[in-house]
Amino acid sequence: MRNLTKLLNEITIEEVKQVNERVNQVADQYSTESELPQVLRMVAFDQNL
Amino acid sequence: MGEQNILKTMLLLALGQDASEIKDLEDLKARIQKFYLKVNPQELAGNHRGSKLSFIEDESILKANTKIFNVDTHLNDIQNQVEQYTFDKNELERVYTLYQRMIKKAQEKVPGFKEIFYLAMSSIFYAKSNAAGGGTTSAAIGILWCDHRENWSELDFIEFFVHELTHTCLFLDERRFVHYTSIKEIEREENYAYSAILNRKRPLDKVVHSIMVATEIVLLRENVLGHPVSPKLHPPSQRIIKNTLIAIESAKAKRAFLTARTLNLLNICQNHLENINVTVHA
Repeated sequence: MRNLTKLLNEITIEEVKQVNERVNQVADQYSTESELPQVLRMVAFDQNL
Repeated sequence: MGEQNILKTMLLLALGQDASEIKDLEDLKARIQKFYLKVNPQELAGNHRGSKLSFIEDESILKANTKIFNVDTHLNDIQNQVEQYTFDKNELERVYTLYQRMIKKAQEKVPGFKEIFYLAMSSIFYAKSNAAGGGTTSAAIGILWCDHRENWSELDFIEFFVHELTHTCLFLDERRFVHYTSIKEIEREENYAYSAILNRKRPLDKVVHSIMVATEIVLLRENVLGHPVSPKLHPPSQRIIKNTLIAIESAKAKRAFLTARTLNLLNICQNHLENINVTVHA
């Protein structure tokens, strides 16, 4: 928790606001720029297959 | 990405849900679950209950997860069908007991893994596939699909969990910073680049993810596990390093579609990999 407290002290309200805007920006990117639902599927492939 | 940076990303995303003081890790976890409920489809809500990692046995949740993991888009260049879930209680119990044991091994061996995995992952579900050993998707952040192979060693399992955790942390990093200038452009085949692990032309988002994952796996081996002689899940380190450096150059050639944050991540990976002596990992 010591780590969290230190990090929390570094965070400003302005930074939280900015991140919220970016969260919305990414959501918009996927909903308006892509024709299909947002899926960036990542898979761990088995080399032997 | 670094443990401190990942924690800060989680704090920022959590505070965006509820700006009141975060009291402890459980409180942070609860707010990350809230964030997942907001960004993931509603039908996945059953994955984000409670403060512990859920091992999914409920048939309706297994069905919903399988459906989301099988949604196709222009960004899916390879068919990775999650073919069949099982609700045979005995089989699920056997598999989930194994996963719990392997996660514990990862927690014991990998510094920082315990905290980050606990915060980032809501649930694990088992479903069979002939194509892959498991995966994560940005349409279901915090949900981990597993279909391990019986020949995986303890080290393969640890690499698998670190691999998927890296994808999940990168999905969160993308929400914090924005990674791509245009999703439409990265869907186009002419903008594909070479990927680090599969070493073939793939959509740029896959390439960025493959570079980050490959670098984390090499660093995990270099700093914790040692470089394996015959790894089953990922290629040997020398091959990963060589292909990842090629992938980084290939991705940088498409810099118009990457944000400054993503280019910075690629440079960090390049610096790490160039400082590892590849000749000793033949």
